Amino acid sequence: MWERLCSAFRSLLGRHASELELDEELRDHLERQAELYVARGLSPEQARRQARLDFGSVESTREECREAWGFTFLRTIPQDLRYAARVFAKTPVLSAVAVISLALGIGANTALFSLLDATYRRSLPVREPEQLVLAVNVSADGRGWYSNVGDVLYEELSRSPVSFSEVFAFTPEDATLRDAGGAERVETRLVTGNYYSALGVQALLGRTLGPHDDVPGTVSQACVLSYAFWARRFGRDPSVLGKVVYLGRTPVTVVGVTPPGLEGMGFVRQPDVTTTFNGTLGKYAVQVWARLRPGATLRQAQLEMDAAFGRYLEQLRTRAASWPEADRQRAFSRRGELRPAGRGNLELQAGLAEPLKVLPLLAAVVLLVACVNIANLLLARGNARASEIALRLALGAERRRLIRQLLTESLLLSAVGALLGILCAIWIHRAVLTLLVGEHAPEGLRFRLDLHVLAFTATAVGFTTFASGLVPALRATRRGVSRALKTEPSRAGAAPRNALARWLVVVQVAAAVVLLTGAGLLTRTLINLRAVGAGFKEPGSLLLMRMGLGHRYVDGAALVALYESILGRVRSVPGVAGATLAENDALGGSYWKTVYLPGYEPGPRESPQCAFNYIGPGFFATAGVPLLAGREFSTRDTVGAPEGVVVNERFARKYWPRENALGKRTGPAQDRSRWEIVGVVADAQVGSLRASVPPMMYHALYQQEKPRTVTLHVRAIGDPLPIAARIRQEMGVAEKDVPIYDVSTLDSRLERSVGRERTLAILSSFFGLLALGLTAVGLYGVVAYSVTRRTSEIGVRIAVGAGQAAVVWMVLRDTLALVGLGAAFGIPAALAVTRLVRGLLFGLTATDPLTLAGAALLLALVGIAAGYLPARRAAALSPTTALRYE
Amino acid sequence: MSIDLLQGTLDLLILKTLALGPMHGWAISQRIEQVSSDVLRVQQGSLYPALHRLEQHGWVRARWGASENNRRARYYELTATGRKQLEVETSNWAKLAAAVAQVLQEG
Repeated sequence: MWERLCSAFRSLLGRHASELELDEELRDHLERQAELYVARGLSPEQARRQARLDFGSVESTREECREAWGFTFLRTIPQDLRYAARVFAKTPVLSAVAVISLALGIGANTALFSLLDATYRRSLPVREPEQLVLAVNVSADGRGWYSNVGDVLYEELSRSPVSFSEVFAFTPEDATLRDAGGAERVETRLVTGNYYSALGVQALLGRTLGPHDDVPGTVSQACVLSYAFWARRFGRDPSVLGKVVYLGRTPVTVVGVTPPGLEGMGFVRQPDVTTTFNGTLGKYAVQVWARLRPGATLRQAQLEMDAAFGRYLEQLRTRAASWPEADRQRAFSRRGELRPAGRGNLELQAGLAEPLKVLPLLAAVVLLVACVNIANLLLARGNARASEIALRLALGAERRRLIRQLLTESLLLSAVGALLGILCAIWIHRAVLTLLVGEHAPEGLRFRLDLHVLAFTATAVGFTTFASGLVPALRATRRGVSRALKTEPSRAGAAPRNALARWLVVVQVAAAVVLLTGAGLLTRTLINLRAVGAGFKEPGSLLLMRMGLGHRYVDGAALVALYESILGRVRSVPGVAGATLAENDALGGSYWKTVYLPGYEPGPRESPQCAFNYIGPGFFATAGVPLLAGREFSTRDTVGAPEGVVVNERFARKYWPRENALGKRTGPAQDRSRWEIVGVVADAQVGSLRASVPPMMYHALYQQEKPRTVTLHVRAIGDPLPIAARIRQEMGVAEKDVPIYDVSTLDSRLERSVGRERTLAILSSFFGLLALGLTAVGLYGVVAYSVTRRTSEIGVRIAVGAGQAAVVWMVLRDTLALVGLGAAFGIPAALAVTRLVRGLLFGLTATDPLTLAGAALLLALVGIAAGYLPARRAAALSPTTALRYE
Repeated sequence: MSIDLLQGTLDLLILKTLALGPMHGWAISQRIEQVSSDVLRVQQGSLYPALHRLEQHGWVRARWGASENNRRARYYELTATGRKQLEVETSNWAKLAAAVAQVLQEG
């Protein structure tokens, strides 16, 4: 066996030499035979001729010898490809449509595959990523988990050196970076001293941070810049080393720059500046990672994790004594787990889990629909060349050889489609990433044409080749094809011979119904979400701008003065109808806390929570939230004044369903009557549009001691963007060191909050319409072919007196029959499949009849449009030419 | 009168002929005709495919050499595996012939 392979391979490589040798061998034989005849008395002429006759066909001997060498198909493929190219060049439009539809189908699949690859499989660009694990806090049923565990767990894990060679922690933080060049809001990351050594990352410039940097109360704190930030702000100037910049209020020295390509490492948000905790670890909810020792298994490590988590729970008991029972039970039923963290992007995994289940399925169906079109195209070609193929078979060609040649044609289409598809994939990948993650997707998540993606594309090509080419090839070369040699259009009454093509189109229609229904459901979800009012008046004219004040050395009355001075400047800008401050803006998420009322004990399963925010005077007037009772905060609500809170309607109705909430009191756990409710406002959305508005409590910003990061809310008259630019200018002059960032209108925030739904709606509609277009092409092809076959029948009908309308109706009826049959299969299929997207919908069920009916109706209309042209052509036939068609 | 050979039998006869020593293609066909007293006529067109097939199987080995009058010819010779194959096929043939003879006798 091995020898056969070797010699076959050798003969393949030395093909030319083998051919020459074979020629020589056969020539030699003929010469000797001729000599024999000359010896018997024939003339040289006659001898040669006789020798030839004795031998038989030299060419077929040569061919048989070549067959014996094996791997003949490898030699025939270039030949077949050239032939296929010539065939396709003769019908450029049809071939172009086929190639483009394949390019889109294969491209979409490849793009989604590479996205999945980046999210789940790509290794982090660090040393031995498979040893890295992340500590997560998991709920009892295993479904809810979060990775922000506390410092206690970090401490406990660090005490378990058996399975771990390193344990490190980090947390992201916003900060204002200030230096001579101005102030800027940056992403920072606070890390433990062993962060870089545990990851195995070397500095590109200078050095990285080490344990000696992570010392509490150090005078000179060190920081490391990311490559992208260094390029952006410092223009890749190496003299940045040793420079002192201010992070918030703290001076830090730049000691190094990390190499490019670390972006996308495990998370979407990447730090611009990294510095050490320096004793502040206890204040944060941190991510805790560990590196397993070589040889340690995850199971061993998990045992240590369980022990550490147990010690953590012990320490939690004292702190949790004042919590509601339900919260306590929930907290203590959780457990700690170690998850492998060296691959993929955890943030993306969490955010993309749902869409990534649905989208690849859609893309696969689209590819299938495209394959059906190609198959029909090849079937039609096969029928047209039936006589040629029959002749070749009759002359002794091997059926296998012909099938190989026909498959090569679909291989050519698929390969060219795949090459274009890779270009499409780059674009589609980028578009999907932007839709899901925003403009600045990190480098590590970009489309990468690596081995995995190439292998996937090659598989797609193989699949497409066989899916679209095998059945037509088998069909075209089947026995009994001698009938084709006597081909003629069928006589009146004969059934259309393209039954297979018609069934394939039915499949296409069914697939299109499924895709369109899915697209309809997801699009309507988006529309429903958008229609949910956030509760603010005119969100398009409400400007939101975040300002970093955390580094200012003021508090108390001076802080209030600062706020007022800023607001004064803002209000002086023309076009500003009102301005106020708040800590969190709408839809920006909010803080949550437990509600304590005097004399109110929550039930055993209840955990009364509310969201809360800090707002400035006139907030509700500016933001456009109606005041239902009582009053807003004013400039008089400062430190020292009695502490009042405003609650929303939901809060008031929940705890005082039949009374007025004004005047009632609430407070923190230790002092439940501390705050008086001074106002009740209408419900306004704080988080996701999908959730209902939670009970909400508002505190006065001016009563808080320390400066915080605040969001400026500005009600603008007219176009908000130039007003935003003016405000920036004003602030740039007056308060140079206060960075302004994250500028948008509430409108665009709302839009951003439905980013995932928008992505799904756009993509599913794209796929649905693509499938619709492909199906329309398929329907057109099949109906046109049917008309051609029934030409004489139509001619007879017209001759006997059928009007144009009747003929048109006859063709359209045929089309509608196909569409109807397809819908009959498609509707139950859609009902079954759309159940998968149940969790993504809002405001409608997965079996929504309106959407289903809409999809079917759309297909019917498209079907009529596709069948119209052939119908017109049929009606315009003159009977004499039609009957003469034979 | 000459009987045309089936492909399988041609392989057997080629192997047997080569058992006597290396030969080139033409010589093999002449030899078979001679030894069978001209009863078996080798279809010349199928000789070379058979030889190349045997070469693929590894039962014969081929090399270019000089023939009597210093002409270049491609010589085939039996390999060790070829010899074994010859034994196998010879015994198969004997069994076949015996079985056919038995059926004919019965009739």
